[in-house]
Amino acid sequence: MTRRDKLLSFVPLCLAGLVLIAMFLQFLHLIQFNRSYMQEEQSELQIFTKQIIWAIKPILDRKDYVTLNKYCNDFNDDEIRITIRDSKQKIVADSKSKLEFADHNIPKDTADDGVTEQINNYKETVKDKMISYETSIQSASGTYQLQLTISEADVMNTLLKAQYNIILFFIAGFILVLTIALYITLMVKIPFNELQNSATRIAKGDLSETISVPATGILHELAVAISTMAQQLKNQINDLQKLENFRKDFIANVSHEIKTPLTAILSAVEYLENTFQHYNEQEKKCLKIISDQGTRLNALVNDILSLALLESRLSMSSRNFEQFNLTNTISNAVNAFENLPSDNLPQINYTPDNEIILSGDEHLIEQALNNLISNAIKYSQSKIIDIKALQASNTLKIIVQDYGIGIPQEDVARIFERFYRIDKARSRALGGTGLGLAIVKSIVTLHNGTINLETAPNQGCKFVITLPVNE
Amino acid sequence: MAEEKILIIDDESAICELIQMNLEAGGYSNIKTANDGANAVKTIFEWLPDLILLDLMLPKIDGLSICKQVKNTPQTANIPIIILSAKSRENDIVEGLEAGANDYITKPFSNKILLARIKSQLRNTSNASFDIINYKNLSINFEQRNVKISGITVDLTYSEFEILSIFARHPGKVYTRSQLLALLRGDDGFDIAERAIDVQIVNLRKKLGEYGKYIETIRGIGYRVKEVQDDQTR
Repeated sequence: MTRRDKLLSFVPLCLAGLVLIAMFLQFLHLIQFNRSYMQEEQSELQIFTKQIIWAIKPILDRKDYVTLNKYCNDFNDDEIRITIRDSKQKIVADSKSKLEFADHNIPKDTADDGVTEQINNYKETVKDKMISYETSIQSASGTYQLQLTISEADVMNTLLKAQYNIILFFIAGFILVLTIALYITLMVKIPFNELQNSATRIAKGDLSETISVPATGILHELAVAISTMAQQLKNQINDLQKLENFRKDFIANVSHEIKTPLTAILSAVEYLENTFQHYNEQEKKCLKIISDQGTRLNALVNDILSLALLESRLSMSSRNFEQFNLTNTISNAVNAFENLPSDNLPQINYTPDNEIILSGDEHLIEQALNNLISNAIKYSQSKIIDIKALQASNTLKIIVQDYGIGIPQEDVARIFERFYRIDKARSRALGGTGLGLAIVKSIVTLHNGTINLETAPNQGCKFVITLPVNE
Repeated sequence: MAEEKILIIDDESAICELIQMNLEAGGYSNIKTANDGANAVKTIFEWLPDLILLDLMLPKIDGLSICKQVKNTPQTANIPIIILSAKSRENDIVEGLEAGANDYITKPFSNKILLARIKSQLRNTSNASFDIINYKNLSINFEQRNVKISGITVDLTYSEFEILSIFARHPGKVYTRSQLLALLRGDDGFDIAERAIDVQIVNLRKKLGEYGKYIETIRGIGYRVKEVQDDQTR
């Protein structure tokens, strides 16, 4: 379950909770209402009692129980029950039962049983919770107790009848709210998931498919925005690709255009050198200068092209690296120098031991090694060049070390700059372009690595390339 | 004077002239030049040269198309082609080699190297008919499919022997990785990575010992067997 799914299911739960809380509050309110309703009822009873007292006082004064009962029986259909007792706690009138009286003031003897029965009945009826109000009446014929009672259940029933609809309404509301919330959640969730899939696809660089834009729905604008963004990205990538192709074509064309006349010049000079044997010293020198400078120009074109290509690759996000065996690459680079026909070539030491697999551009790494080794051969005057590859847990160090003249401290900081030479005259004489170390640095940077130089005059140079190793 | 017919195809007439001068100085007299693709194709099929020096960037018909056309026509398929390139398009070279070109030289080139490569290509056209090739202590017997160094049999796998024989039969010819791969799997189309060829080559070099160094790696292109001068065959 994703975070969004959790959040989305949280929404209907929250709504349901809110509705439940509202229901609870309403319930509390109802109880409160009922309670105050009861109180109101009681005070009403009080007022009612006063009215009744006013009405029955003259009857009681006359001790006319028959009239009293008639009066009380008028309330028979009412919810209020009126009971009147004499000073001996004997019921003399009750609205819910008819008492027979022999004469106006003395109850029949037989009526005694009836009254007792009535009292029993009364008790039975009193089992319900009652709201009652009692008061005593001082009349000419004695003291009487007047009791007015209403069954609470009756009141509650009336109340509940009215409140039943409210509760029903709330339950219906609860179900409705829950359904709507679930529906909205689903309405959001489905297009949301689709959009997320689309966005993930775009993030992975797949811009081929178009995004399904829901015609209506809450995510319409977002989908349109993402769709537009993808289209925009596609256009920009196309533009970049065009630009990159243009740049590559341009580099290729420049290379071709410069090399064609160079080929002609060098070829012509070589022909002249080989064909005629009768040159004087000056002429020979001139031919050598043309040939050397042509060769140098060619090296320069190659190095500038290498740098341009490296830079264009540095600006791209994808490197297109492959895994290769570094041990083989170093061996190849070393072998290339050992086969060179030169008399005072230094001894190059490299012991290929265990296999080191590196992810990168094999040709570029070999070119970097080439440049470092050829620098050491050209400038260090060292008799020995040591090459080592050391693998640590997550880094790889390639070390090219000589034991020659070293580099003065003030030059170390600038040694990787383009066209920076320590000894300009000497460098040119040896055919250097001044770009070798700049190319090495670019290659190392392309591989997310670093290059360091440890050196001191007459202590040799130690170039350390540190490359990150994935896995 | 060698009488081999050599056709130089380059859009730069100065380079054509210079190559012609150098070849003439090197002993080849039967030379023609062509400055554009259409002219080149016409000359190839009318004149039927023994060797073609081909620049890739040409007006009208580009070098790659010419290479394919020559190699796909039975009449001209055996004419060796050396690509002359400013190396600006490494892919073009690879495509050219895969279309059947025998070798390539990058501009600017040394005339000596050019002459040496031309010589090697002209000599090697007939090398494929030998049953046994001997060089120093190395002996390759194509019929019995075995390789001996100083009389001791070298144990090669099927693939390694195939690679070695194609190299030995066509010394100096550059093979791209995918060419070697196609050779090994025929046209069955097993999808092996091109890098797998590197492994085969490494093993082959190890097994051949001191002769292993004759197999040259050509950066970004492929492999070839170095030309040897005192090549004794019988």
